[in-house]
Amino acid sequence: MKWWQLRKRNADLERELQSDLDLEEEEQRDHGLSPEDARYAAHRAIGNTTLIREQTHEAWGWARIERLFADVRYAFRALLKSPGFTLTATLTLALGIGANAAIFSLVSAIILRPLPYPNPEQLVGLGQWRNQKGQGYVQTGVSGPNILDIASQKNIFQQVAYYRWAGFNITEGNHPESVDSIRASLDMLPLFGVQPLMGRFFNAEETQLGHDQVAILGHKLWQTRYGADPAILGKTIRLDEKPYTIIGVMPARFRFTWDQEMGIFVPLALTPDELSEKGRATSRDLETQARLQPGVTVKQAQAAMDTLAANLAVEHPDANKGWGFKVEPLHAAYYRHIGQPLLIMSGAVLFVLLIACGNVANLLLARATVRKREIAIRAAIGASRSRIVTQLLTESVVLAAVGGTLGLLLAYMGDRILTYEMTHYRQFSVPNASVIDLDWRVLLFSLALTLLTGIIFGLAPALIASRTDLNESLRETGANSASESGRRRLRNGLVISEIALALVLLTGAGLLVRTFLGLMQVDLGIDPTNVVTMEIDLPHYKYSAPTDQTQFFRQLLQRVKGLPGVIAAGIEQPGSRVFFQPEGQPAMIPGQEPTAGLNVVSAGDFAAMGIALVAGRQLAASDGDGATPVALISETTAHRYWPNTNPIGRHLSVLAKVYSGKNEGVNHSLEIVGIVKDRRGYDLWEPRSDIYVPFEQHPIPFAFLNVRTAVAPLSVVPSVREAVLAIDNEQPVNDPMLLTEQIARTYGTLRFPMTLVWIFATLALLLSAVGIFGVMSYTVSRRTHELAIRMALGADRLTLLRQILREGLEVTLIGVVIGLAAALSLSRIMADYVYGVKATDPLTYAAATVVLVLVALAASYIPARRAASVNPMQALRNE
Amino acid sequence: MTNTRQSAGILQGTLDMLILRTLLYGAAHGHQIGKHIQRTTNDFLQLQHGSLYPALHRLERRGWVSAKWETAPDRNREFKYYRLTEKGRKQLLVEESQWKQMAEAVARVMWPAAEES
Repeated sequence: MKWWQLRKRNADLERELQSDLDLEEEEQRDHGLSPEDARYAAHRAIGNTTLIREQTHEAWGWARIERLFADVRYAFRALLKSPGFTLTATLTLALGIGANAAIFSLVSAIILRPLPYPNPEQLVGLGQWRNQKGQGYVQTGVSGPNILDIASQKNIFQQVAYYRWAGFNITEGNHPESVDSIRASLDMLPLFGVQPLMGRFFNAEETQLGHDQVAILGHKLWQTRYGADPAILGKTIRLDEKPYTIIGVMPARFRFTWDQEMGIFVPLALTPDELSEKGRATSRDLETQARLQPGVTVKQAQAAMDTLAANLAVEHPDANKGWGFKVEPLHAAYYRHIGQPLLIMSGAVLFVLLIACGNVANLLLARATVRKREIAIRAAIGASRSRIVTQLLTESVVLAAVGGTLGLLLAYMGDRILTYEMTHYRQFSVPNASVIDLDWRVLLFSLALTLLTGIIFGLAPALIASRTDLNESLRETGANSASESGRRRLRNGLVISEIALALVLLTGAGLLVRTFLGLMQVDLGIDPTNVVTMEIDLPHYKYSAPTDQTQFFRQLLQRVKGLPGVIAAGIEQPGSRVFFQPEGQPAMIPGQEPTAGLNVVSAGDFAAMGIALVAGRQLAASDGDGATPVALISETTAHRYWPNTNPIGRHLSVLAKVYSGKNEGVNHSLEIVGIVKDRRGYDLWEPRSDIYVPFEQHPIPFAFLNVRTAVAPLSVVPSVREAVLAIDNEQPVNDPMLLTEQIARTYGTLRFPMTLVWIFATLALLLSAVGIFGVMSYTVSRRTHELAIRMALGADRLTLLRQILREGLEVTLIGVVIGLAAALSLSRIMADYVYGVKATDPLTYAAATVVLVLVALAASYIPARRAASVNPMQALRNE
Repeated sequence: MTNTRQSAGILQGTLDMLILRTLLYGAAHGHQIGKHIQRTTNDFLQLQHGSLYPALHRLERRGWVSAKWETAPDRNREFKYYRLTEKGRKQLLVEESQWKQMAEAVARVMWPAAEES
């Protein structure tokens, strides 16, 4: 029996039954009945033909599918018949499902989609860590000798590899071009399990000092700069004025770290110093990644590393005491920082969908009342209850499917925005950010969500609608019936949950807004208006002598200060964290010393950036090479490490960089001459602890040039460029940017998740207002009769108005109480994320409650007004 | 629809057997089959169409009967005649012996004395 024969089969059965009926009728006539009576008797004998037909279809084996088709067809017809309801419901669902699909595509791209390498689950990141007294957890790379010890654990790791970032300039042609580049160890590229598109990876000899002038090109650079030259291998590329032989090209779509397209890879040859025992403490800046042996879990690897760390701490206490190793899935290491915003967003968007479901369920309930008669008739002609429920559920799922399809369209558009946002702000640094789209996971998720949604909002109304007393429904006059109270309870229950959900979202959004406002008002410690900042990177092949570097910047500052429109100019090299020792205080255990960011600046930088002096003096021209080494410290540094004394005139000595362990020859003692205001950088949550030293005493090859202007800041950039070229006609000036823009980007990374949650909360508020409005309108319309009688008996309008409002308020308040409890229990999730408020901030909770109650009152006011303006005569006459 | 006569209560397998047995006499259409069973049992088994037609179609799907529209010999009208197939004949034997076994088993439990004597 094939499905395409169904139609023929049907006609066949019809004919068969008809002939049976005819024969029966004939027989009855032979028994002496009148023709009319005979026909009735025949029908009685045959019974319910619809049922027979259905049961016979069952015997054909296609009944299930046939029923489904019929139900779907019927559902579409029923939905088309009430376009108002259908439009409202599908749009509501489209919003809910679409928003969920969009956020889920973020989750899918960033967390669920594996890193784009073979066997990505074997890839782990390695780091050294310690608990720094007063500073908390510190994580760094791994030092060279430690890496060798780790790599010797062959039963755990297949390969252990490491790299450093390298900022190469391609020095061919007139203008050097900077390119994203990596110095990679022998195993670094093979670690990923990919093959070069052309040529080969590095060999062991090439990772030795002196043999390391070979390069592998990234696919994009090969295409853009060399026009995808097929004969590129063996050619030379000049990087920082040194020739490198090109030995390979990476495949297209190869991404290094989270989602980065690297231009050039060169070998990383460690120096004998870095490989010696001394290097164990001073080469901790090696970014380390490894591939686990098949079958080895991260947990096992971590256990092995714990043992190793304990052994190394005994064998090499100077370098390794207090340090542990951390093994982490590479993928998790890349998305860890965005996990919490994602969780908050997913939760918020799920709430919106639940509220949407509540609304649609309410619409369906109201509709089921209208359709009571239809359902009763279906029951009367033999439909079982489960059959009716299936039919109604099919209708809900069809509704959800239409909404879901629309929602996917919304999600598609949403994904374009999300991709832009995630790639626009570099600080997000998440895997697969450039490929946020509707992949199979999202489609599957949306499908499941749609079906589930259809069942969630459809089941209760369907069950209630099918529980109909036939006689009562067919006689129905509109008066309150017994089954009505069940519906009312469900309706109120739905609105209560909607309100509770909306309140949770509102408080969450409120907390985020207060966090954002708090962070907006945070004192950045600088005055960013009218400041332009740009990067100047002196190539070491030209400026190898420190005096040359200092000379260049000194000349540059002189010229720039003289430019028209310039108020102040300064340079700064934002610091890496260093250990330091306040002199005269008891020495700390090595590695437990205080830390601060060491910034190398020019005297004029404080004026250019607008950093105010709090005590002591500014840097001066006299603080030059050969003069007493001096330093300024920030207020936080002063409070934290000279708690009860005046630090001015005291000394501190800088020990080593926290991250790498390197000590770059600055461990002479510095005299503190001044205290300046705190600054905040990317981490807006906490002020930085800073030390400032003059560039004249600490030569630097790289700096940001900050220029404060009296005119539009960007207008001075060309003349600054000219000033630079006047000193060195090959020196580029990179990335001029308004300081305000830079700050806006920092805030942008914060604003983005917050804006989303805020949008979701507003949606939730609107949807629940619609929900309250719908339920109150419905209640009023059902009770017109009752209200009219009351009014006819002398109740005054105000009393009625108040009564209806009170009913709306009651429902709202129950929802509020539940919502507050839920919000409080969920506040833990927000605790790490908020700033300036507690996650249980009473003011925010109160404000959210007031907003919600006001909206709920407004939503019940219109129906209440309508109820109070009922004309009793007319209402009663309409009965 | 409750009545004292045995109707839908008969086991599904039994109904199949009765239909097959009826068709052993020759081709018949649905109405005839129903009437035959009803008359032969002196109206004790009154078949409902609700079970007769689904059963006929089920038997056809299993290949135990075949169906064809044919003109009735006594009137100028086509009816859907069901015929026993070879497969159906074998099935009838199987069902018959199963039924016998069942009946004997029930009898042994219900009237053990008769067994002893």
